[in-house]
This record gives sequence, C-alpha cells and structure tokens, in this order.
Amino acid sequence: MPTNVPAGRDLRLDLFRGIALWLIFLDHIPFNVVNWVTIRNYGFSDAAEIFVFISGYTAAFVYGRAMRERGPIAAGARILKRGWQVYVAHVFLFVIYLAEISYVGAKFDNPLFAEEFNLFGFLRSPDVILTQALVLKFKPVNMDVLPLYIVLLLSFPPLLWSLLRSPNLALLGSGILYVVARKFGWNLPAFPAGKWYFNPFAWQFLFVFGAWCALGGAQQVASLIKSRTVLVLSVAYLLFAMVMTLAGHFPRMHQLIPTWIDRLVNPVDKTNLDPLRLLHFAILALVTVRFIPRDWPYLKWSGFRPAIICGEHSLEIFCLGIFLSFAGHFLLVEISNRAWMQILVSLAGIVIMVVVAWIMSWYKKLDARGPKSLPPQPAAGRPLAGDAA
Amino acid sequence: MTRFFALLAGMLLCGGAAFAQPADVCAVSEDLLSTDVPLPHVAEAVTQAKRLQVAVVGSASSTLRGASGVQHAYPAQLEAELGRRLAGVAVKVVPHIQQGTTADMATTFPRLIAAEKPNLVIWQTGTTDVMLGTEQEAFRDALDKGLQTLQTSGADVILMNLQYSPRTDPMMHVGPYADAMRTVAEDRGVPLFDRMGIMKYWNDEGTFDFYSMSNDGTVERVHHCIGRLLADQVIGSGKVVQTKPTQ
Repeated sequence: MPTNVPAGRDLRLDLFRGIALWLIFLDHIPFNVVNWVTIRNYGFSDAAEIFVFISGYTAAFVYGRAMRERGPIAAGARILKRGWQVYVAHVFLFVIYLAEISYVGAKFDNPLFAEEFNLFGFLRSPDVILTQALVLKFKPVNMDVLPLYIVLLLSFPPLLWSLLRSPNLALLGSGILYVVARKFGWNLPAFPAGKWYFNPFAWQFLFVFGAWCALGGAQQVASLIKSRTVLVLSVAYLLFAMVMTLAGHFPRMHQLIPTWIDRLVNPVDKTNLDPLRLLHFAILALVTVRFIPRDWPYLKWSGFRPAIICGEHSLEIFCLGIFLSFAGHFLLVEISNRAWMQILVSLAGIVIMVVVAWIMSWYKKLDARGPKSLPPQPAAGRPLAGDAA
Repeated sequence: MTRFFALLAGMLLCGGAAFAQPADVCAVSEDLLSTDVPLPHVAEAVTQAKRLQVAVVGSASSTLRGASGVQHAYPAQLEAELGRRLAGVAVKVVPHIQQGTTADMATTFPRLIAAEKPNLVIWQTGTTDVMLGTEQEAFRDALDKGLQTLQTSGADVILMNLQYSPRTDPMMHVGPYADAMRTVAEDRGVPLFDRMGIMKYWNDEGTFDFYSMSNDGTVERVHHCIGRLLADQVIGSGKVVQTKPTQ
C-alpha cells in the first residue's frame, strides 16, 4: 500500500533543482554579468549535472515505487508518457526559437557578419530543418538538454527494472557503457554535422547514478559522506577545480598554472561528461548531503520556498527558463546591454519563473480539492508523477 | 582604470579632434596582442631578402562583399600598413578566400605553398566548423595538421580565430572551438591573433557597435583596424628575433 506521499518527498531535491533551473536560465543569457554568480565559473561541473542527477533520482523515486506496486508494464507506460510530454515541450520550445531566429534573420544585413549570417540559411529550407528537429538531430544551442532527457526516459523502463533487481550491477553496467562510449567515441549523430552536445551514452551514467542513489545507493556510501578524510580531500579537489576554472577566465592567472597541470586538465569536455566534471559533481553532492541532511530545519524556511516550488515543477519551469533566456537576450540586444539592464533582466526572469511555479502549485491545489467524485488514490499519485522531471 | 582612460581617450578622439590619428581608435589592451612568439621567417625576409610575401587563407569574414570589398578588407589594409611601416621592403599580401571547414582549408596548403612560397601564412578559420558543428577532436586534429603542414614548409604562421558576433554567437557553441584554437596554437608555437577577444574589447569599450543589424559604416573601419593590429603583430613578433644577439 502506498505510504504517505508528501512525507516521502525530499525537499532538498526540489530546492537544488529549483536553484539549478535558475542557474541554467542565467547561463543561457549570453554576455550577462549575472552569469558570474553561477557555479560553472567556480568548478568543472555546472547546473546541467545537478539537473540530470536529480532527474534520475526523482525518476527512480517515483517510478520505482510505481514499478514495485503496479508492475513493470504500468510503470514503463507512465515513464514513456512522461517522455512524450518532454518531447512535446521540446517541440514547443523549438517553435519559439524559430520565431525568434526568423525575426532576426529577416532583418539582419550587416556585411561585417555576412559569414555568420549563413547560420540563418536553414530558414530557406524548412523541409529539412523541421524534419531534422523532429527527429532530434537538429538542436539549437541551449536546447540540447531536453533531447538528452527524452532519450534517457525512453531507455529508463528496462533500466529501472534492472536497478530494482540489482542496483549495483545496473550501476556497473551503466559505468561500463560510459567508459566504452568515451573510449570509442560513441554518440548520436547531429544535424548539419557532428554529434549530440550532451552525449547520451556518457550522460546516462549520471542519470543512473542519481537513480541508484534514490534506490538505496545513498545509504551504501553513508560512511564516505561521514568520513573526515573524504571531506578534506573533497574540499581540496573543489579548491583545485575552482582555481583551474577561474584561471580559464583570467589570462594572468592562467600563466601561473604549470603547463603540465593545464594540459592534464584542459579541455574539460562537457559533451562526453569528462571524468573531472563527474567527480566534481559527485563531490559537490557529497559535501552538500553531509552539511544539509534530509531533515535540515531550514528547508522549511520561507526564503527557500521560491526555489523549492520552481523545483517542484521542473519541466515547465525549465522550458519557461529557456524561453525567458531567449527573450532576455532579445531585450538586451534590442534595448540596452548595460550591466544594470542585464541585472534587471536576470532578476525579472527569476521572478517570472517563481510566479509561474506558484500559479502552477495553486492550480494543483485547485485540482486536488476539485471534483469529489475522483478517487483519492490517483489524485495523490498523479501530481507526483507529473513532477518526476 | 586603464580601460576607462582608453575609453575616455577614444571618446575624445572620436568626438572632437579632427587631427586625431585614426590608428588610435583601433587600440586594444596589451594582453590582447601578444608578440612573444617569434616569426623567424618574417624577420629574415624583412631584414635580408627585403621582400615579404604573405598569404591570407580565410573564409568569408576575411573579405568584404561588393565590387570594392577586397580593397577595404583587412588583407589589403595589412598590405598597405606593412608597406608603409617597412620602408624598403616589397610587401605583398595575397588573400585566398575559401568556403570550407578547417580540414578543407588545410588540404589546399601544399599547392598554395608551392605556388607562392609565402614567408608568412595568416590562417583565419573556425567559423564554418562552429556553424556546422564539427566534432571537437576532428577540429583539433585538422588544425594541428594544417599548422604542421605550414610550419614544415618554411613559412611562419599566424592563426586567427573567429569574429565576435554578439547576435549570432549565442546561437552557436563558439567557446570550445575558440579554446581549441588557443591550445593548438600554443602547442604548435604559433601566435594566435585573437580577433574575437579584440572585437569583444572594442564592443565593450564602445569603439564599435557590433549589435547593429545593418551596415552603419563601421565595416571598413573594423577591417582597417584588424589590418593595422595584424601589422603590429607581424612587426612585433618579427622584431623579437631581430633583437636576438646571434645571427
């Protein structure tokens, strides 16, 4: 029988996913001073890792229970339905992107950038570009996370089944795929050339790692989380990552880094989830879990509410964030790109994200209180499944 | 602080002084134009042969469209500037504009070298690869092979990266390609002419407005400045060798 659903929800997941959504929004506004607050400037990993990991965690948490209670077919069907929702969301975002790029493409006539202008050339062949976008081969910049997520969800039913049977073996299998795919350069093809920006064969490992943690793996590494030695080593690594990443921004600082260390570390590959990034994220998660336990009293603090409600509606708020980053960039280009405007656009975007998330929560409460004829069980189950982004 | 003064100076020059040297408008911060890496073949050609043959291999951003486009584009500006500053040296700059990836361009090098025997090749690339999304490793390999071909052919090389294009850059993954160009150039001991950093500097300082949708007359001035700074690079890097005690 289902246990009390709200009590099972780990607020930390929503909190950090909400923060990750804000960071992704900020990072996606180019040439924005507020970008300096985001974690990608201070370490190897960035908000994408947080998002993928927590998505894996919540997917296993929600659908794992469904699979135990209702069997693999029913749970698998729900996962695929979720994948379909994400696909529709992606196509919706793509249409918005096309609208923006068509507008710019029609007006842009600066001979200095005649070559860069070729980027809009695909507008002349919508037959090709629309088809390629629908099969997820053509993915404009900043729109490559959702396709990864779709592929991960599509392959998740059998994965979850094996994770429930033998979590460690499933994690090992995922790890082997990660290593082999990196070694042999396995990746899905992209259009017009190249491969996926987020290599699903590499990034699946982080997703599965999140799922593994949700299904009891976190308890297995509890001694690591508590260990003092591990903490010291972790902090040392985080500092190292910070120095190396900051050096990438400041040429003078970069000159102080010994060449052999520089060559050992750089470039830190995002496409294939460089082990340095993976380790950096794992350590960040470990340190976070150590200092912020599940029953941390401040999780109920109202100051965290805005981030938590964004995290509760992650798919919708993610899409909204992508749209807002397009819109924000558009405003910066058309009106002013002064620092105050950048700060204003960034803050306004986050406020809009919070307000929309709040409205969605309100709708959900309305739905829950709605028609009395609905049996209580699906009403309690559906919203959570919808949240498993 | 220095940027503030540079900006102030720039504003004064643009605003009032009719006698101002147009050259000063092009100024960038020192760290953007590094002349540490020597160009021995250039130095030899200038001091001994008194004849400097330069080839510019690049994509569409190395030229300007229209009938007189070539005259205003940076290769021609570079030729004029070098000719003025290297008295008594016959300077020739030949542009080779081609549409293609870095790997495509590299295949044309052997024939180019054989035909023109340049002392210096300025290789501007990256844009096509960014737009197509060439794989990182393939891009790096193509760059490395291309530079190697040029270096072993008895020519100096300057690698030039992409333009700073604030309207289109956000729609492409420019960063990893720019990083790759920097590291490969460093590994090969080739100076990188950081066109992207320079143009971003001009944009931030208000020297030029790169957000503009249509031609507002800055195009020729931008190419003039790029040609002038390239001349600084060629002469600066060439001098490093000249001042060495031996030879």
